[in-house]
Amino acid sequence: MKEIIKQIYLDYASTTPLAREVVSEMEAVMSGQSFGNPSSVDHLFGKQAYEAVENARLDIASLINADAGEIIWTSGATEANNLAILGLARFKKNGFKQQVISSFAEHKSVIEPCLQVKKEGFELTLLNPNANGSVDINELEGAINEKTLMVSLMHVNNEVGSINDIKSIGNLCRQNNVFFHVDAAQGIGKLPIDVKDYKIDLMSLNAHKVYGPKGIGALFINHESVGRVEPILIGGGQERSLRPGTLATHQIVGMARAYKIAQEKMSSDHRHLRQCRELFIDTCKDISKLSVNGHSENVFPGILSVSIDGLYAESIIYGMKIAAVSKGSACNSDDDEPSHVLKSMGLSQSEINGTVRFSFGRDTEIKDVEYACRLYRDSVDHLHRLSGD
Amino acid sequence: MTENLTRFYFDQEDHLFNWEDDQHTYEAKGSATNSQGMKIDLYFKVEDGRIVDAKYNVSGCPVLIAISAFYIENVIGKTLDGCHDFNAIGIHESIEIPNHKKDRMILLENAVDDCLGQIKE
Repeated sequence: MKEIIKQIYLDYASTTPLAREVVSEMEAVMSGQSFGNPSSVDHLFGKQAYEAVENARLDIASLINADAGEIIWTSGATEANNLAILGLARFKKNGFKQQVISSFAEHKSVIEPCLQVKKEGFELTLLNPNANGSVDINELEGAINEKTLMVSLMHVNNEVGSINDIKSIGNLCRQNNVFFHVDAAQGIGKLPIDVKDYKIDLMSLNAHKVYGPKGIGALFINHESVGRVEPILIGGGQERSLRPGTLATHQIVGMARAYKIAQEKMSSDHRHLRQCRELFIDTCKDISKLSVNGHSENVFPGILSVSIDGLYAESIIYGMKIAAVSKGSACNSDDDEPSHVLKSMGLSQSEINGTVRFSFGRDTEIKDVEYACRLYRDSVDHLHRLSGD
Repeated sequence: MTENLTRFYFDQEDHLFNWEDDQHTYEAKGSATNSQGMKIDLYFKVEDGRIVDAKYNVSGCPVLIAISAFYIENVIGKTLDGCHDFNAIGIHESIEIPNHKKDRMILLENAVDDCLGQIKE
């Protein structure tokens, strides 16, 4: 019989396991009478599904201080990013404002829609992040002009965990009458975010990074902007025709439950993640040629990016055998392309090659971090010996 | 099976070149690098047209590491003509090389060629 070896999961920035409570909530919907189509409100089955969806909408809105009517369900943050950027730009395609600003540190689901609107005639400005991986507000201010339609930036960077000063950026955009879109895929449920206080116009959300189901997300669009976004899908009236398609009640309910738990556990989760990060850095800081990417303080502690100049992340990970971690970001792990984020932060090709992302979560045990440190050190030592260093 | 062998040869350290101990022992050194910065150094000790010992250093992906270690272990005892016959050495049958990593074999071949070139000189 094949021996089952316990794997250590340290890839929470890629996705998280479902919380038990989320599974229960979803099972209740799937096995109960809420299986009806939430748009079919002429009978009890549809009404029950409709109520479940609308209650969930309230829960999502409550986490970010939005109104329920400002939440549009999507299949995830990628679709939400597409809808925000393509939808707003296409609505304004004949307007005076024809510039979109974003950064090289963004996820591809932001950068590629930005490149698409450039093809459609908009001017695109992509800012370089600073060495810590966040956008410098003075540089952003310098890039904004009277023709700027939208700024699209992430809250927490998925590769290094750096945090953008969303509140200051929101103020800057509002002062300049510029739409502000935030990709909150990595930050939602982990760091407090208040769309009214931070003056955010559009914000992309997902569930699977906060112990909710995959395949569900949302776009927050504030009341002032909601009429200014053109749908990117057509063929139904759901979600005010902004996102047609039958709603996935069980996933929506699961997302809402995950967000409620995240709200309750945000402080304790944060303390735990900080402990994991600090333990890893303390334990591994003497490893030859090791550098920690991103800011030491202004960082989401659940993500830790470390580089070893001259080694290969793929081999480091292979050598760690039972630890599930990522090289660069998960979106890059299928190809040999160097991470565009690390490159824009000024890392050399050799440092990028040797970059591994550890990401901790609610279920990460301290002993797992200690063990992962040992595996990492052993793997790096082996590779140093192989290379003759 | 190939995954087990890849793992086995990835973990191997039996034939690593160590500068302090080995610098005067191996008359031929062949090197190759690729655009991604992967690097392989091979060292041959040759007697009567036969490779009597070989060592290596390597930095790169797991496939490159595994094929380098496999090659070194299996090239010892081969003639200079035979050391270029990768089919006879059996790498392809033993180590799984994904299509997008086939160029790692070219890197190994280049290092072998470089080594043989020095011997001929």
